[in-house]
Amino acid sequence: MPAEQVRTLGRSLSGRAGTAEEVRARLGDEAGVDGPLRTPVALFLACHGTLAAALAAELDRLGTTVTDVAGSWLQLDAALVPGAEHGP
Amino acid sequence: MTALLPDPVPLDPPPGNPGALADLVARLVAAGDLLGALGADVPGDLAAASSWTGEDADAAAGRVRRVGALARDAGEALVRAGARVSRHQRLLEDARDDLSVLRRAQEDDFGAAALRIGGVVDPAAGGADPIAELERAEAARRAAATTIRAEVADDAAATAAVLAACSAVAGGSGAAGDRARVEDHLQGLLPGWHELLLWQRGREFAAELRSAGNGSDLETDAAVEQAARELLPWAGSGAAAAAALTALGADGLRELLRRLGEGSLSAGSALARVTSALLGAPVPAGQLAEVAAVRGARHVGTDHRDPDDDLVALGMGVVLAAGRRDGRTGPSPSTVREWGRQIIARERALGSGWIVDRRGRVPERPGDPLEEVLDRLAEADGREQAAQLLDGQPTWSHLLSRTWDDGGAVLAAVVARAAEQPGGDVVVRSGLRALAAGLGEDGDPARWTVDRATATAVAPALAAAVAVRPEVVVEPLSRAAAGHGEQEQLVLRGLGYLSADPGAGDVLARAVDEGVSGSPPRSGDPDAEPAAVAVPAGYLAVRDYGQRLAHALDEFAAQERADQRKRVTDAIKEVGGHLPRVANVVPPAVAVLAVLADLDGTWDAAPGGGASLPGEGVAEAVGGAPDAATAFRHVAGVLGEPTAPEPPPIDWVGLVSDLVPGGGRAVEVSTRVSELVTETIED
Repeated sequence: MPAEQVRTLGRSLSGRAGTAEEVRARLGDEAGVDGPLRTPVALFLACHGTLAAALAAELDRLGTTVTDVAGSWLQLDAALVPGAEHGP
Repeated sequence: MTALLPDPVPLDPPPGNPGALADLVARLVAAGDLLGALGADVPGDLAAASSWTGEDADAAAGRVRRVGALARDAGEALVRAGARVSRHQRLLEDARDDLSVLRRAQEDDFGAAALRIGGVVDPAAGGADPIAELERAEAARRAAATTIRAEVADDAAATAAVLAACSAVAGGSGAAGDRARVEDHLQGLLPGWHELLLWQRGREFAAELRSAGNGSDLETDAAVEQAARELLPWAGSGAAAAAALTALGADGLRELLRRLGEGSLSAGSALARVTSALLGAPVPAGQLAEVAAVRGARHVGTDHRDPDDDLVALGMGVVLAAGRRDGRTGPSPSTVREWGRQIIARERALGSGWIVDRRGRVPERPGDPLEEVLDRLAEADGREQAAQLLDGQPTWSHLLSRTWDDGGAVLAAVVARAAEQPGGDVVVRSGLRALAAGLGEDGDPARWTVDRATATAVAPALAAAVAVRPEVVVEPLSRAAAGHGEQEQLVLRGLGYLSADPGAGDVLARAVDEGVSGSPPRSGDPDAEPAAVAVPAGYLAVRDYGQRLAHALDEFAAQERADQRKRVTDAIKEVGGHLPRVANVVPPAVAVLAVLADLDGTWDAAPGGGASLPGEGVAEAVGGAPDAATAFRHVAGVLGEPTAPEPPPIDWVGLVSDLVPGGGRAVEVSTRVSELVTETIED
C-alpha cells in the first residue's frame, strides 16, 4: 500500500469538508424573503443546508477513515519490518 | 366636493422583497459555484493515491466519486435555482415599477378631477363628465394592476416549483416533511454522515434520559417517551445504539430498566421498543467492548431490601416482551442468559415468592420476567445460552420449584432447546439431580422444593433429552449395578421420579435399551455385570423406586392436607366450646362431622402402595440372567426406600370423650388403668 499517498488523500478529503461547510454557512436561511416564496425558499435552503452539512460530514469521515487506514498500515509495517517508516 | 370622487383603486406593490431575493440569488450562486468546484476537486484527489489498489481502495474511491457527483449535482441545482429566483426578482421589480407608474397616473387623474369639480377649472371647457372619466381610468388601472399581480403570482408559483425540483438532488420535494425525506435519501449515499447523524441521535436520547433522572411523574414519562419515539426508527442501527448505550453507561441502563419496570410504560411503549432495539443492535467493532460492558453488567442485585432490583428485573421482562412483539429484535441470547442468571439469583436470595408477585399482580403491570427470559432462550438461536443457563443444579432447582403462568410450557421448551446443544450432558444430569434434591431417604418431601405440576410439564422434554444421550443414565446405572453407585444417588433418584411420569416413562425405557445396546463392554472390573444384564436390572430398580416414590409423595401430600383440615376442625371445636349456650353442642357435633368427613387428620390411602417388583422376579424380567437380582439390589440400595405415611386410625376414644358428658374423665381413668395393666404385665 502506498501509505503516504493514501494519507495525503485522506488529508485532502478532510480539508474539502471545510468547503462543504462553507456552502452550508453561505446558504443560511430565508431571512428577508417574504411573500409567496418565503416557505418554498425556506424548505429549499433547509434541504440544501442538510445536504451541504452531510457532504461535509461525509468528507470528514471519509478523510479520517482513509488516514486511519494509512496509519494502521504504517504501524503494521513498522511492527513487521523494524525501521520501516513508509510503505512501498 | 371631493366626497363625490370614487375611492382610488389599490395599487400597492405585490408581495415580495426584491432586495432580499437579490441577496438570496447571490448566496445561491456562490454556494453553487463552491459545490461545483468541490464536485470537480474531490474526485481529482483520487489521483494522489493512484497506486492504491484493492477492495478497500475501490470502496473508498466509490464513496469519493459519489460525494463528488452529489456535490456537482447539488451545485448545478443551486445555480439553477439562483437563476430562477433572479428571474422572479426582475419580474417583481418590473411589476413594482409598472404599478408605481399607475399610481402616479392615478394621483394626477384624481387631482385633475378635483379641480374640475371644485370650479377651479371651467367645467364647460372640458366637455365630458370628470367623474365618469375618472371611473373609466380607474377601471383600466384596476385591470392592469390585476394582470401585473397575476403575472407575479404565477411566476412565484413557477419559481417555487423550480426550487422544489432543485431539491430533488437531496431527496427533497419542496413540501413539509422534507427533512425526513432528505435524511432517508442521503443515508445510502453518504454512509459516513449517516453514521454520525445516528450517533448524535443516540446521544440526544441518552441525554434526555439522563436529564429525566429517576422522576416517574406523567410529565417525565411523556418527555422520555417522546425522546424514544424520535429515536425509534434508528434505534436498531449500530451507531445509534453504541452512542446511546455508552452515554447511558451501566447505571443509566439500569435506571432505564427500572423505569420500565414501574409499569407506567408498557411493552408497547416507544421506550420499551427502543430499549429492546438498542440492546439488540449490532454495534461497530470499535465500540464493541464498551457496549458489551453496559449490556452485560449486573443490573439486578440480591439485596432484598432494595425494591429497585425488583423493578429492574421487571423492566427486563418488559424489554423482552417488546422484542417479542417486534419480531424478535432485542437483547442477544448472551445478554438474556445473564439477565436470567441475575433474576434467578435474586429470587433464590429472596427465599420465597417470585419477583413478579412482590408488587402484586395486576394486568397493567409487567409480567413474569423469568418467563420472558426462558421464552427468548427457547428460540433457535438461544440453544447455547439455554444450555449455559441450565448447567447447574441450583438453577434447575429454582426453576422446578416455581409455578409458571403457562404451566411450565416455556420451561419445557427451553429444556428441549438446551438439550440440542452438543455437550448438553451437564444440563440433563443437573435436571435429574434437581428433581430429587431434598427428598428424604424415605421419600419425605419436607425439604423437597419441586413443584410437581412444573415437573410434570418438563418431564417429556427432559426424558427426550435423556433419549438423545442415554449414556447420562446408562453409565450411572452401570456403576450402581456394580455396587459403586453412591455418588449417583441423586441422578438415579431423579431418573426414578421421571420414570414414573406417564409422559416420560416409555421414552426413558427405550433410551435405556438403546443405551445398553450402544454401550461398550466394561473391562478390568471383576465385579462388573455385563451391561446388557446389569443396566436393565438396575433400571427396573429405578422404576420400582419411581413408582414407590410417586405413591409416597401422593400420600405425604394427602397427609399434609389432612393435617390442615384437622387444624381447622380443632380450632372450630376450641372456639365452639367457649360459646355461651352452644358450648356443649358444638364440640360433639364437630367431632362427629370430622370423623364422617375425614376432617380428623385421617385420609383414604391410595390403593396399591406403589407397585414394587420383588427382587427374585428381576432375573425373569430381564431374560433370566442369573446376576440380574444382584444388580437390582445394588441399585435399589443406592436409591433407598420411599415409605408412604399411613393414615392414623380413627380416634374412637377421643370421639367418645367429646360425645359423652364427663367422657374426658372416663378416658383418663381408662388410660390410667390401661397403663397400670401394662406395667404389671411387664413386671
